[in-house]
Amino acid sequence: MMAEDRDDAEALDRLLAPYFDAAREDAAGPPPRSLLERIAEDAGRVLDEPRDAGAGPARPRGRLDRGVFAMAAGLAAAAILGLWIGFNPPSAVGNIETALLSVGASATGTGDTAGADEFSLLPDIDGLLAEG
Amino acid sequence: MRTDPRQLAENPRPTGRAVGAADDEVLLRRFAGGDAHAARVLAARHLPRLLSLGRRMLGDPAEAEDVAQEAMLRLWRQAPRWRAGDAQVSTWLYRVASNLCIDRLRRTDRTVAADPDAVPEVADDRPGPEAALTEKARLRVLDAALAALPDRQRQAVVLRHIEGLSNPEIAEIMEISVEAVESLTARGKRALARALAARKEELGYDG
Repeated sequence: MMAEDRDDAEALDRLLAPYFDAAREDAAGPPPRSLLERIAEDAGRVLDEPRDAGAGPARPRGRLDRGVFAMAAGLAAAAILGLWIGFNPPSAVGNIETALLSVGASATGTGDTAGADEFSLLPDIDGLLAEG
Repeated sequence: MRTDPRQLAENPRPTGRAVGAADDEVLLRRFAGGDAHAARVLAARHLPRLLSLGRRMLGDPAEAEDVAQEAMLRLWRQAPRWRAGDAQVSTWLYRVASNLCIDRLRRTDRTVAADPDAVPEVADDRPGPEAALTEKARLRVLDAALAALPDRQRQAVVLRHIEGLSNPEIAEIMEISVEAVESLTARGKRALARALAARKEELGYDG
């Protein structure tokens, strides 16, 4: 059985060998000049690309990435809001001094501030000086 | 610095550097370092085989050129990241070109003639009934028979018997086992033999 298979394979090779020889000879010719020029052009273009472009697709230039654009827009919006609050403080923080200097804390956790302690956010300068 | 492609295509000699005998990886490193001539040497070295593969796979010289150009372009882009010892440049190029051929065949959904009778009649350009047909005619018959094979069988047969690669090399290119390569080439050869046997005398072979 093995010998028959080998004979078959050899017979096939004998039959096909002249065709394959002809194909190999056909492939031996030089490549067309126009193709060499196109390939040389490609190679030159790749060499002229910026090094950091690497092997991946070219990165579009002169455009902000979407993430950077969103961040810039957010910063601009925050700046405008900050300016608006600076010039037109809402009534809730209208009294800046009150808002900054004291915080009402509920003693009971029920939201009833009647018994809440009041404490200053600023350090007790007089006390510190007194302690030396 | 702008590279003049015409100079790159026409100048057969590097300036002050002999790269003709250098191996592919050295050439690729030189290209990555800005040596445009190295690309020319690499292209001249590998294009004939890429074109042959493309022609046998696609049956169209113009498409074979496009595939060869695309494979070389991918090599230029890969050059800065090329790692020595990963693969041979020739094997890498064959793999890329083979995949490009298969992609084109699938994209265009080409059907091939499975009937051996679809092999075209060859014209005897010599007088007399015993005249052997020209090599060109034999090639046309072989190409038609190859075209009738399934894509993967054709790819394996071309790489093994026309490009002369070893089975392990083909296995690497086709990303299959060596046993699978052997099976593909054996089935391909049997199918080719069926298509060509009837024409043996007609084609001038008596062996």
